[in-house]
Amino acid sequence: MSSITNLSLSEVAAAIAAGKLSSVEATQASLHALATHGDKFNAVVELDADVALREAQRCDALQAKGAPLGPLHGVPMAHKDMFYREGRLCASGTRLRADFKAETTATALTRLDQAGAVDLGRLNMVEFALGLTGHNAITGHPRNPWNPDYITGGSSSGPVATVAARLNFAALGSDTGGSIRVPAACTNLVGIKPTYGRVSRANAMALSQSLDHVGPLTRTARDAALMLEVIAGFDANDPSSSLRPVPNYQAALRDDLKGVKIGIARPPHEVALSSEIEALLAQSESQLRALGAQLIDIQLPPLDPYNAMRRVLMLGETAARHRDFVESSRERYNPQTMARMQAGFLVSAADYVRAATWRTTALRDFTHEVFADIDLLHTPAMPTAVPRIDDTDSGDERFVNLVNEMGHFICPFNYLGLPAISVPIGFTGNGLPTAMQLVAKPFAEARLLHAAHAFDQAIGYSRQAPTI
Amino acid sequence: MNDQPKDAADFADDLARKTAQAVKQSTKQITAGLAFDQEPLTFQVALDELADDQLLDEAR
Repeated sequence: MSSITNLSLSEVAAAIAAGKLSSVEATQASLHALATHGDKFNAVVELDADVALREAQRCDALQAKGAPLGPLHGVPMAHKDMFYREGRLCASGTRLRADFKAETTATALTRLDQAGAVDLGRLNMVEFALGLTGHNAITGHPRNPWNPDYITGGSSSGPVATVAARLNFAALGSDTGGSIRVPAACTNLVGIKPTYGRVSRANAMALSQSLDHVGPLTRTARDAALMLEVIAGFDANDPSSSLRPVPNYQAALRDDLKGVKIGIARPPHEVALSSEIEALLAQSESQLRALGAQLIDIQLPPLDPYNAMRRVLMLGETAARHRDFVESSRERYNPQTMARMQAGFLVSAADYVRAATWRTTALRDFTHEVFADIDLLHTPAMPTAVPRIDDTDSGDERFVNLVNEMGHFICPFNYLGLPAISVPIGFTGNGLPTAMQLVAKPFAEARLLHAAHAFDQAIGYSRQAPTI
Repeated sequence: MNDQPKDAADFADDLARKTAQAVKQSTKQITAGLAFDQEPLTFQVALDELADDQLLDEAR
């Protein structure tokens, strides 16, 4: 990749702000990289090259006039194809919405616009964001830049493929049951799912309103801090958004972890870890300790109940949203999507309400029990190495079990609404990356970003890029 | 017309039935004893309260 697209989001923003690089140069470099290599990974839906270059020229002209600059002034980015932009198509990975032209703009995109970012276009994703492996038989399965025979993880598949391959500086993703953190783990990226209510979901395609979270996919924790600070905050258009002020996440980044108490989730787990994942997690613990963190062994309460109740909410809410589509156009869904969604039509209202009601009790109990003596919780992100595409494309019971296992440590935090971040920790024997997950108390994203940043400074995962 | 292969459609139907059955059983088991008067819409209030508790702890 070019020396420009190898820059991190923070670096390219700083270079443009310092006048060392123009927005047009950065935009041209990213557009060229996406146009040249994007198809290799089935990652790009559509690039708005003309619009983006005009916007980049406008950014450069504003800067030349000495206008005040936003924190992402002139920085180009492409995003998951589920964030509406007025007047533009937004297909959400499905042929059912291939012609859907948005009449509004997603708040997350508006916030990026206000910070000066340039929107390059739309990236591939799992149909309706309903799937953890990244498969999309309709648009073509996205390919992992570390090895195209392997899954990217999903549902934010195009975003991670492009950011990891150094085609795109960063991207917006969404996470209803791991769709930011799992693909980040599969591609050596940082993926943060903020606290429920921290980032507005307004005018982003909804999957399950109780569980959907919007967040950044980036190469470094510093980039995640920069982007989260821009997109977080109250939005009158999203009734779930929080009134809490947004901290200065970048100011919280330090290079050591002195005084930070990290709880290490010890086995037995309900889902077994492979020996190579265990070894990499143990190595990450040593590295955290070397950075000054105090590690405390803890035994997590069973995670299966949270996963089960998350599934009830997701099935019920997804079925409610899709019923008209399913009744009129069932045959146009990807069969895998249909297989995942169909049970929602059989979930009773009583079960749905009980799952929603238990959520508050579960959150309070989990937080009091697990976070009584720790600041952060350390868990595996995925229990096993990233699988191959052809090993996970069966659509049978084996596939269902694999997906449940992949999400086992990740999905509870959608139900509990707690902030969680996926942080790269190394590579398994197949040459693919893997990650740890750190979890914090509500609205403690700064702690997650601080720990992820210190870890990156010491280990340098963000300096490792795939050869494409 | 449904263009899904019959095997895929059968699998989806079967999976839906099994999943719905599992959902019913697990919900009954996990939420057993849920207080009759429990208010269902306080999740975000709980998130805020827990975040406030943390701020108070840090201030001490």
